[in-house]
Amino acid sequence: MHPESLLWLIPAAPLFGFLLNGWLVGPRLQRIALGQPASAGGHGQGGHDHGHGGHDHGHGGHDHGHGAHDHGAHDHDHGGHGGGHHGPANVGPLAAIGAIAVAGPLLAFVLSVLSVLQVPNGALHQILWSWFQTGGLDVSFGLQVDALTGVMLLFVTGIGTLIHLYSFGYMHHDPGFYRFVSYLNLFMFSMLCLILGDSLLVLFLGWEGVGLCSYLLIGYWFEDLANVDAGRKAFVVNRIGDFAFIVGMFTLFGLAGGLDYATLEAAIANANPASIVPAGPFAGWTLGAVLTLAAGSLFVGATGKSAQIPLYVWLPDAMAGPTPVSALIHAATMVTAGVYLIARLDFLFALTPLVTQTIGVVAACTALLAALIAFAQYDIKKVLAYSTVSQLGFMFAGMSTTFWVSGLFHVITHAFFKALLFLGAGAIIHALDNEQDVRKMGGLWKDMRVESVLFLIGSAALAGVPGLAGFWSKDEVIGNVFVLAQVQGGSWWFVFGVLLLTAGLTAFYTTRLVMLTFFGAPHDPHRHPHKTHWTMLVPLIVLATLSVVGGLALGSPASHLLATFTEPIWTVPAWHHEIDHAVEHSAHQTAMALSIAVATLGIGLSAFLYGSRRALLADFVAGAGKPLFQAASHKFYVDELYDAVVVRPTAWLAQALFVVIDRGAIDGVLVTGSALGASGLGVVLRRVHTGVLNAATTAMALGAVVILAYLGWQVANG
Amino acid sequence: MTPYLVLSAAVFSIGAFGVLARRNLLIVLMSLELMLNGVNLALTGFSRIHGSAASGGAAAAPHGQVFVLMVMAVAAAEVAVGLALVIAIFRTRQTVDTADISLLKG
Repeated sequence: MHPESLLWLIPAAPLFGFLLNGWLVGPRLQRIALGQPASAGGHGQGGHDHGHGGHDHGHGGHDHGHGAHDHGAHDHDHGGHGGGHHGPANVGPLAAIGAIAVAGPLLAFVLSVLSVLQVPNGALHQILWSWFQTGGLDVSFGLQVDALTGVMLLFVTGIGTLIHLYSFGYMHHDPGFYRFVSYLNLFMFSMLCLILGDSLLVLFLGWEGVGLCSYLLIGYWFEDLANVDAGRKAFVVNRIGDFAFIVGMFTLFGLAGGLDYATLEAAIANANPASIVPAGPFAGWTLGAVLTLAAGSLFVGATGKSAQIPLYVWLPDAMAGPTPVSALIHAATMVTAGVYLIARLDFLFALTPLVTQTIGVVAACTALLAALIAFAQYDIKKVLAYSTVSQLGFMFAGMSTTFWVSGLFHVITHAFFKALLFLGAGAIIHALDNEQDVRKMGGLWKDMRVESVLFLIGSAALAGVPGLAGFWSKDEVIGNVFVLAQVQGGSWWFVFGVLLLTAGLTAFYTTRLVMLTFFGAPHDPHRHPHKTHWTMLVPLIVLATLSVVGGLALGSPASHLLATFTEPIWTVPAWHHEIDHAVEHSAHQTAMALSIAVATLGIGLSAFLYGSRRALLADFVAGAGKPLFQAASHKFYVDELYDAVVVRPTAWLAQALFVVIDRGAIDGVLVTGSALGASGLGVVLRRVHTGVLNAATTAMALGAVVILAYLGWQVANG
Repeated sequence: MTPYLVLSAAVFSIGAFGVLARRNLLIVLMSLELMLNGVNLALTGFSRIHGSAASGGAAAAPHGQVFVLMVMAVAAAEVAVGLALVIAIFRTRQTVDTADISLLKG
């Protein structure tokens, strides 16, 4: 069959896995694995996690009277996913759950490869059904694969499959394993809807779906309140962005009368921004103003999902979720949705230079701020989280240059090496019984040689070591910004400087992380790291390979595969064609030389300081650098600022509304008040009811007289 | 035709007075019958009036008389039910005085 008619299977495969694992067979298999009778209901099974004994440490109170599914989860949070020394009774059913979980994304990956192979012959498009029709809006649920979607598909399903495999090794000791993988599958489904959709509305469906799954997975160990809070924070912050996203969608609908990409592109692409909108809700506006409103709103939406200033604050907290989640959702795929949105609507952003300039500045500031915070973090996952925020800044900076392919390129290479770093960190955390503090690691190089090498590869790619994936894409971004700085000047010089500085800082903090984790003296010389399960090693090795060759193969002087493949779909601003190629070429060369220089400087300085001058650093942190270090380790008090400026006033407003409107007006006046009024009236009127028949009949007769008199009066007056 | 209507009104009023003022349930029921018959008288009277005006005979405007038959049938049923209620009340409370039957007092 032609792949076009099978597009629906790509999102459906993980959805099917979600249904199987989350509902049809997963709970049953999990109960068998935990040694419970399969027929026992979900309640009242008080002690199924005895197999994990010895890890209760004070949380035992949570472990009674919950549903049978999850209530040992908390043990694992602190007690260790450790290698097999306290495994469930029966691994077979867990392997079945794991196999179902991996099968969906794997099938999606195979189908994605098949579809992408067709893309050079023209984009694939399948309309599944008419979703809804209302007024002038006719939305069909359609899927499409063009070059951009194809590229996204390949790395989302590919890395997704690897991380599902990894999750088996990492999570199968958890009593809620089936729930975990079914959420992951649901996430894959939503993410695939997001990138496959042929209209903004289908994209929005996936956008909200991944947000939901992110929330569910951040708060996966929901018995710890901090995790729940982190999930809620992620959800609420994302809702703020979503509001702007919706405004952007409304604007585009008001302008183009439709939300599918074909309609939008026909209405917008290559239009004259100075022309006046003839009709519709924006009649009389200049087209450029409407487009700026739409693009700006959509970018605010993207700052929520893709963690840019001002809405980045949820992503570091999202590390409360299990590490595979951090790798899949909060590093490789979901957080790049905002970048994808801009790439998808390139024809819109190409016409709004004001918005792209703003994106550039915001992205550069985000990159710098997050990199600075990463300096002072001691939680290995927090460092990686801030590094993700910072690298997302690079992606947006790439998009802001309107050299779209550079942003997309960085999305892909970042997915490779950041997934590798997170999964590698997960392997370490797993091996050390859930130790995440780098100060308590140290010297792991001797104990975990393979994992160390793999993590080093990822770090080198992130730090920008020439030849590795991150180097090529980051250099592409910086080079393009440099081109713009020369052509347009202004804010682009600022963006260029900040990004270059951030590249150096990135090299520094990445090396710092490596030095603290793998070198130096072990914190505990008597530790015995657990062996890493093969399901965790295989994804690491594949991702490490991609981190090495991915950049070289996709976008280096050796091969411009990505640029060539996606070239037909991009809409670029007209001024692109006026750029002197010589200038462009020399700008890229200068930028490359500069970025190699700053990366070398960062790595060298960091390796020197953390290798042999730690006392110097300690003095600096305790002395002259104390204010800066304190500020960075407190994330520059942004959370506190938001708390004071946004959260608490909102809470006060909510409290005031609650007291005045809800409790006062609605509860007091309307509900209680009407009841009191009715009962008071009753107290008065009950006296009329004497219970004497004659009185009642007299009243009736009088009533009849009154009615008759009225009727008579009516008749008499015509 | 006024005498018919005057008689009808008189019978109706006597019945109404009985219903409103008397306290014995049996008398109330009987008064109710008087009211109905007062209405019946009016209906036949009107039938006569309108019949003459149209074509010289009551047969030409039979609606009023038909209604009288209808009222009689319903009144018979009503009396049967009413008397049954009175008997039931008497059996439970040993009285048919309306002043003593005041369970509906608010």
